[in-house]
Amino acid sequence: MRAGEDSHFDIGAYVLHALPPDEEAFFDNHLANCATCRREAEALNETAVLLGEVTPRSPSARARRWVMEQVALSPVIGVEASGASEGC
Amino acid sequence: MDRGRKADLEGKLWRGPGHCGNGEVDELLVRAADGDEQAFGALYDALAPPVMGLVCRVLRDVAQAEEVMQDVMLEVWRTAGRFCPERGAARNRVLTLAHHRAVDRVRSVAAGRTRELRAGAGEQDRPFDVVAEEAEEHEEHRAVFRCLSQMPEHLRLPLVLAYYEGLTYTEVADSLAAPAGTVKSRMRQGLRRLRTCMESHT
Repeated sequence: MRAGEDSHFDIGAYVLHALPPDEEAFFDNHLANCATCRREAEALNETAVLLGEVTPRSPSARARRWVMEQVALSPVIGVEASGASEGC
Repeated sequence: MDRGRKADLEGKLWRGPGHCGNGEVDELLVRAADGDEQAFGALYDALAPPVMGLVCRVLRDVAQAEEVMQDVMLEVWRTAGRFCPERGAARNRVLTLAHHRAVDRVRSVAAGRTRELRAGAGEQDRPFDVVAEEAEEHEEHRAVFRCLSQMPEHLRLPLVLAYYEGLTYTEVADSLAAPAGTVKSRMRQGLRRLRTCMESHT
């Protein structure tokens, strides 16, 4: 697989989460170095999210209890802790 | 690429179309990032139902969907510190993550066989039928349905098979007996077409 024009083709599949893991990782790296691709991916992702706005469905009360219990036990990973340097 | 860097890149993709109430939801996530569990509880109440709806649509199994939803919401909490409202709405960020985790689950070994059956001959437009049913009941989904229905089949099928069935582009290619490169290109073209169409409806 090579970078360049070929990678731009992958944007649609990437946004739809339709790339297999190795190709997705490759495209993640490509995005990091391609501002044009990032802009297009952002725009197409907005559209993909509209496909995901289906009928909401209430989860069980048990599910909420479990999540909130885990939340009480798990720290939030801060920007510093993640090692990300760009910040907000 | 380490998980932190990847999450940061994904963060760059999270940008919202301006749903009503996005501001409040964003604010809740900002507060959650400071360790405010009560704010996270309110965020959960706002986003768990749409996440559950989406994950359930992809997995078609309530019990599995609930597990995935729980993992997604916990991941939202753990990574709340990386949230930047400037880079996109929390709702979009969370739904994007939820879709990603739902397709990861659908591709897991246990679900593999069912998925092959789903993708079988004659079933290709089934996910679109589901979208059609959805549109009958929900006004807000009608524009998506109208736009999808106006698209030629060769652009619509790759979108709905990938998004709602969780197929990879190679699986979509097999299912449609089309070259993989063509399918990838049509996915991009289809999303662009859908975007243009949705913009003309708003």
